[in-house]
Amino acid sequence: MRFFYKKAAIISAAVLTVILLAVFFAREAHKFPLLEKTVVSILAPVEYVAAKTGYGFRHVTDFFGNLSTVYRDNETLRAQNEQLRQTEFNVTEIMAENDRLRAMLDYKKVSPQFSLVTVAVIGRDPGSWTNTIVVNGGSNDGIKKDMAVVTPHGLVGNVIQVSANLAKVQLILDPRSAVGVLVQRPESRVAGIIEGNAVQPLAPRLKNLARDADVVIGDKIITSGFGGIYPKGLLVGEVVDVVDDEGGLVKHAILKPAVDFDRLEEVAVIVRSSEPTGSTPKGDKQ
Amino acid sequence: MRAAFWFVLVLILLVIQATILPLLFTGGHRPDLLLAAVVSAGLLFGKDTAIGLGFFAGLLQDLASGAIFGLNLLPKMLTGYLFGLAERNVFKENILLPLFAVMAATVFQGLFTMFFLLLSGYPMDMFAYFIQQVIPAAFYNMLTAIPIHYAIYFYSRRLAQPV
Repeated sequence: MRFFYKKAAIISAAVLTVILLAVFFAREAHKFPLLEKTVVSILAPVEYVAAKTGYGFRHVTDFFGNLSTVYRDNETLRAQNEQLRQTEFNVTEIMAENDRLRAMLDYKKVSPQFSLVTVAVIGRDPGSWTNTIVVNGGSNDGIKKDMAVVTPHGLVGNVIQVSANLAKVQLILDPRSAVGVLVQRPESRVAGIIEGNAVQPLAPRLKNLARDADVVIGDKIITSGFGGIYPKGLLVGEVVDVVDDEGGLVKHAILKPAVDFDRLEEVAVIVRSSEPTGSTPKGDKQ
Repeated sequence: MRAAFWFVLVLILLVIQATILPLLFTGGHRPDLLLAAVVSAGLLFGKDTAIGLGFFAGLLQDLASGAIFGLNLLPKMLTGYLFGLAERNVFKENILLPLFAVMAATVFQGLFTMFFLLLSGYPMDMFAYFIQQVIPAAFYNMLTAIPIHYAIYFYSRRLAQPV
């Protein structure tokens, strides 16, 4: 009986400690930087190998997917034109990677205002509510906390933790993320904040717009440069719906992100930018 | 030996969850392999093992994802405790056992997460979160429950065999 009480007391103390820690650190960006860095650093090499295997596996499934599509098209088109039998089923992982890196290189050429460091995604978020990735570049590559992360298609997120050879990136889909943005359309230029949406992670929201704000479906949304993290002019996404908030004076817009977050393999960190990033470094929520 | 088994199991499941699953399960939902492991550990080994496993798995998950501390740890510990209580009252060979247990555990973890986030100052549409996140997660978790349950079941049988 005494043993039972002792065990119950230990478990209760553990739970109480965790709750107290949670309450204390709930709103802080980094609670146990050393512990977190240690865990991420230990997991990273294993994740790197597993991620490579995963990419290989996906390319194999893509390969078979392409094969069946090509086969169907072939059946339909063979009668009309023999030369349309050319297929794409010999696409290999190296060719696909080549394409992606070429796109990244093109983006570097057309964006001389940014100094970019290209890094590979080696791990995703094992949690269910948050949205982060781990990339294989760190302070040794010039990457620092609060740098913006992009792909040629648009904004990915920002660096929230850096080790020597690794960095953790918080995606714009994370419910804790907030990005200052503008509507790109010249006659609108409405400013707002995009926040991640826990209910529909792939549909972040442009929140707290006035009911009469000039935001319509199809509007392109770009970063405003306010907040000190994201340079101005990065494409964030496109408005797919505008919803009036219940009983209030405001509405919100639902976005389709410009980046395909399900297929992130390489990203670029903006290590230097000549675009303005505002003067309030603490403005962006972490 | 036992500790090594649980340590390796959690590490393997965590790495799979962070690397392979995001490639297979797109669209914002994916299974929580660690939750299935905690549930099975509770049903097959009892609450002491399951609480320890829940604590360790949740701690690693919280640290690796940079989430609010306790968001994964507390529900996994509680899940281990609750399902550990049922250890002596279930028929362990029943294939439906892991399925329904993991479904119930996912709903429990979802409700706990909503409650925890509200207390932490992250308001959300609870009904929409339940319908659009928790219920799909329950089905995804059921998909992975059987292989994980049987891996732990065979381990428990091996331990039970006389040397």
